[in-house]
Amino acid sequence: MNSKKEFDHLIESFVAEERNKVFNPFLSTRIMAAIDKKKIEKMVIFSPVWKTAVIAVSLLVAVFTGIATGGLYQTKNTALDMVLMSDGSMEHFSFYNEIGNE
Amino acid sequence: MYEAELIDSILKGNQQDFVLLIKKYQQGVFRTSMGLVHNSEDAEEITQDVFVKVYQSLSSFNGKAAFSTWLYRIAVNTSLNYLRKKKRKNFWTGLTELLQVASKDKSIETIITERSDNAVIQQALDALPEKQRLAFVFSKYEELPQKQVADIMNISEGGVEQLLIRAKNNLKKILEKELNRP
Repeated sequence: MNSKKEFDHLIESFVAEERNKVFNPFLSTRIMAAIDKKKIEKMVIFSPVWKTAVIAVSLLVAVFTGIATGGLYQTKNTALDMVLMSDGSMEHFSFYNEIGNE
Repeated sequence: MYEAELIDSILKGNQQDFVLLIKKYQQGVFRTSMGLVHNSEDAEEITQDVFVKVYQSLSSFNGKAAFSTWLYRIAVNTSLNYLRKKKRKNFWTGLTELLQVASKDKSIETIITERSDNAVIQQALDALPEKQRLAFVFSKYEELPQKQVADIMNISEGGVEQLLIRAKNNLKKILEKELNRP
């Protein structure tokens, strides 16, 4: 088993065995059928009926999302916030009136 | 009909002309994938996938390289992707099966040593680095001239020769180790 020739022979006979494997004689027919099937799937996906249906459903979803989002709004008493809001500390006008800082 | 005319005709919508292309190259694609996956059913499935891909992307074939070069590249990529997917899928199932068999009848060592020489050669081929394996498959399985192998693999002819020498040496090393085990 050690000789180089024996290894070569082993490899060659393995390759020959795999090379001589026969495939389905109707393989080309099978391939053409697969191509046709893919074409039909593509046609179904992009057919005008589907396009119209997808657009209609998208519009409905958009409308209902808008209504649902609008429904989330809650009225709130903002008057209280206005009272509590004091801008006195926001800007120190006295700072600009001091002579050294002018 | 010349290949370029045939492709033009297919692109114009004569789908039946594609059958001529399939018949011309199906054996080559089948053998190439056979050399990579070592299973005729898998190789048939890959051949089918390859030709479907070729049909779908025929318009992108620009004719810079030979059609066969382009086709073999698609065949190699499809086969390698198939193997990667299969490897991921089979890892756990294979391990479980081996352990189940081992626990029932024989030890793992006995099962592995009882494997036939063919399985060892297949394993040795699969253990080769990807480029060496591809060069080996193209020149031994498909018997393509070195120039075409170089074109498909996008390397020089000298590079292909080097890969083949290294592949042969590596195969022998692996086989010596595996087949001479006590």
